[in-house]
Amino acid sequence: MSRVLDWDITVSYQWTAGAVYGHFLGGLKEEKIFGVRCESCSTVYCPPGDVCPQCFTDMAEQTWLELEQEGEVVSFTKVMENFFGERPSDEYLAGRIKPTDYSDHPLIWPPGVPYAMALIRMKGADTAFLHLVRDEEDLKKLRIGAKVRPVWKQERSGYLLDIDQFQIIG
Amino acid sequence: MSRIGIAGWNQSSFQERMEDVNRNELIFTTVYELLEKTGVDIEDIDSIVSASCDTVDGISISSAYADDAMGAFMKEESKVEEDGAYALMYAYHRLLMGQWRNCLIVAHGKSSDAGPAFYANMMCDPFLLRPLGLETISSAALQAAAYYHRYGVSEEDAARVVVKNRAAGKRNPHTQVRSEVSLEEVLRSPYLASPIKQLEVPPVSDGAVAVLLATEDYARQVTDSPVWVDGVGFCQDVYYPGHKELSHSVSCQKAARDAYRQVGIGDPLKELDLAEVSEGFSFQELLLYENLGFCDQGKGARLIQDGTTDFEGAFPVNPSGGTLCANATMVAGLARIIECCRQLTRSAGENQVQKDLNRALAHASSGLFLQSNLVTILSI
Amino acid sequence: MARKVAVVGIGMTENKSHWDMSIPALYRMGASRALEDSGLNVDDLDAVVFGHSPEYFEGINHPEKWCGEAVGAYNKPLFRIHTGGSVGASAAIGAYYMVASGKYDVVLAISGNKLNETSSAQIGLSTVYDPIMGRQFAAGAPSAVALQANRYYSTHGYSDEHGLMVAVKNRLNALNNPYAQLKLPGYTLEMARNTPMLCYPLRMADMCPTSDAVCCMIFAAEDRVESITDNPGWVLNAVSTNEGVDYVDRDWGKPIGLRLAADKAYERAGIKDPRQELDVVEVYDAFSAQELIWYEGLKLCDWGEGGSLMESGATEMTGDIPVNPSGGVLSANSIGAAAMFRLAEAALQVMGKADQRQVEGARLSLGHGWGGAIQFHTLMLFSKDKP
Repeated sequence: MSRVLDWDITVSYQWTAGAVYGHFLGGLKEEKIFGVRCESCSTVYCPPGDVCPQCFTDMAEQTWLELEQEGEVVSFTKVMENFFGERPSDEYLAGRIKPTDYSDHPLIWPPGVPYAMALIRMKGADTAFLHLVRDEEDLKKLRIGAKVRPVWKQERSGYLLDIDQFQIIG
Repeated sequence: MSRIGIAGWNQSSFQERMEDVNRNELIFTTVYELLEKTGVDIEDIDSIVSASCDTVDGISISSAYADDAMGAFMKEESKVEEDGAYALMYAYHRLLMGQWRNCLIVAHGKSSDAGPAFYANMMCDPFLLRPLGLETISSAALQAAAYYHRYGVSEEDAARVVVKNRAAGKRNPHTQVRSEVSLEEVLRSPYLASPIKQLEVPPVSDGAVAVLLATEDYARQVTDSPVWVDGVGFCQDVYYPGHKELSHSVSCQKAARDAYRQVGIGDPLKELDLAEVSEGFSFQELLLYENLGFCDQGKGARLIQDGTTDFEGAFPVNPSGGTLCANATMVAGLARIIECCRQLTRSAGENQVQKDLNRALAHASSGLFLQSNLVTILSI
Repeated sequence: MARKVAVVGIGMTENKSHWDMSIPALYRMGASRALEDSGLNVDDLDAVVFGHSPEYFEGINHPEKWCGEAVGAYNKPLFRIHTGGSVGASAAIGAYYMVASGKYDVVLAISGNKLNETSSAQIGLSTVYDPIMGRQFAAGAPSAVALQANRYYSTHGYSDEHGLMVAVKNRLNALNNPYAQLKLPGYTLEMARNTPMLCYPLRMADMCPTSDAVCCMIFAAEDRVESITDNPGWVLNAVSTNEGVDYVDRDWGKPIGLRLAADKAYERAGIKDPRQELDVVEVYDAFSAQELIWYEGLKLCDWGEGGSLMESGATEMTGDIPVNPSGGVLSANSIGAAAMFRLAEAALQVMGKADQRQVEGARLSLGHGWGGAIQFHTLMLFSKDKP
């Protein structure tokens, strides 16, 4: 007779955002969306990464730009099913992000289905930013090329979901 | 420099959930059967390279205990945290050094042990991707949407891949999903993450495979028909989905070009006889046709519309049923290599492609958004 | 036949808590330092071998996907190796083999971990244990190594004093190493003896710290070496073996897997008397007692003589076979980078670039790493002279 061992592995983390992610997340806390321009190739990244893949430059030393808060949908998907099953315990989900000012931000479980994930090219950026579109009416109107703008949470803490979602404006 | 060839292989069955064997039993049986098939004694194995993933196994340093089960006692060995096809690539380069006669490659993954959604979400960086709940299906969907939009590919074109591969899987006793499905059924299946539908998604599979790779001399002692590894190319592109064009895969193009260059292939569709690709999702197979150089960008659908890549077509792709019929994490890419071997040695039984076969391509992929790709060219 | 390969560049980050750096940024630091050291840029790299140990330390699955471009692998061949604590060396060995195969000319090997992303690295380490037959007792790595130390001491009539001698030697050596984490000037046996007993017979003095670090080594093929540097570290040989975990009559105090690796390495390199021929050795001493055991496995002395070798002073900086001039893993343990640091330190010795920790006139060196349930052993031999 076979037996099955059920086990949960719970490890808590405190992720260091560092200079680049930290600056971007810090911007979200201030209701700002930053892009960063690699001075070697002039690519404006939003969101940023630590390194410009093409040039290997240290993005912490490049130029930050505050971007206009409007973007265009490059691709999207409407997620109809919850792939993760039951919501795990808060303990399981507990993760902390350490931007340079050391605020604590718990990891949040993905929103209830249906919701859309969209790749959005912010004005002035050369790359696209993955985020959410959740409003029921917007989900019906969502298409590639739609113009969107961020909807900010009232209470922000320097976390990706300080932007609650993007809404369609055209 | 010696040629390097595959002298033997073994696949476990692929099942949605193997509850009657634990991981080590699965590995042991798979390796034991390979040794029996080839008549090689474990004492005669010079080196071992394994492939597995800690998060799938729920065990850190997943090879620590697994090595005991694969006979790696007092042997030179290493482990890649990649699909088995990458282990074979590494073993191939090790053997080229001329220091060993053979290398046993073992890949295992009991995908059912941990949820595939968690496995994939854990690959996401905690700052920009993880909180969105991104995982394999939603990431494939984002890529599919971009691909369809750019090239005007229809959901029907993608669905044809499922029909083709499921029909092939039905003939393949080694795969997991062995039932046909019609175009209507695929198109009618509910959206999981638009435009990906339920029937366009690979199954969750548990399984293990083992391959004996060897230098020419040794391979010929073991078998009359070694399958030669003529060249391997692999490549990883950018990580963040918004930092690259999703409608094609630069890393796949480069991996293929590198492999073709090593072998001297100018026109893959003409110079290869069949391909086994890790298509993952329906549409990805079309995208792979283009990025492996079988056709121009955006023209992948044509190859399936005109039957070129059908089982009886001029250039069969995935006569095994592909990963749409069995998709064990860390194993699927190496299983594609094995399927090519079955075909080339004409030992594929009920799913044997009938035409002349001399050279095949096996493709493996790793990461979300086809971030990493590996192409192996095999010949008989 | 295998091509000749040399180390042409080395990059190290400091071992400490990099509280202000993200994981990719730390990786970039290691890679850019190696590139700078070699005078190469990312375009010169043909491939990257990425090492990183248990995902549970940072909670990121397949970190090589996220961090590949941070180490120069933009649209380049990259694959990931993971062999536990020995991963740093396995990655270096991987790069060496890829170049020796004849297919790639310049390959970068990089490996690291950021252990401080979790509040407890030991939980991550406890997941090494088999879930069905061992995890319930796991107390991380110390419990396993304590068993090993106890077995060793009792078999050969040594005591925890011998481990403390290693600890003092390495802590003092670390003072010369700008990249080491633990620096304890004026450290003495008495001070070591007075530290709390954490996991009998191991005291705090016998244990390694928890570090974040990345180490990077660039390997190049023979015909490229000259154009890159006039001071390469030639690789004579590399071996990685697995001893097995649960085999019958395993004696944790007698690493037959290491002896196998050493035999193969010495034979392939033509070394008959390692004690005489080697000038300096860097071993993976996560815990002090291990160093004594590795002396024996590496044939620096016979089985059972490790404690005596330590007592003799031969492995001090002033002795005839200095071991761990860098302070070893005991002074800096990021797990992911630790084994590559051993290899890199050994290479620096023959390249004459080990600064304050340089062993005069070193021409032949060995770097060692272990991993898993203390069953993976990796070795690389370096020479100043072209083989």
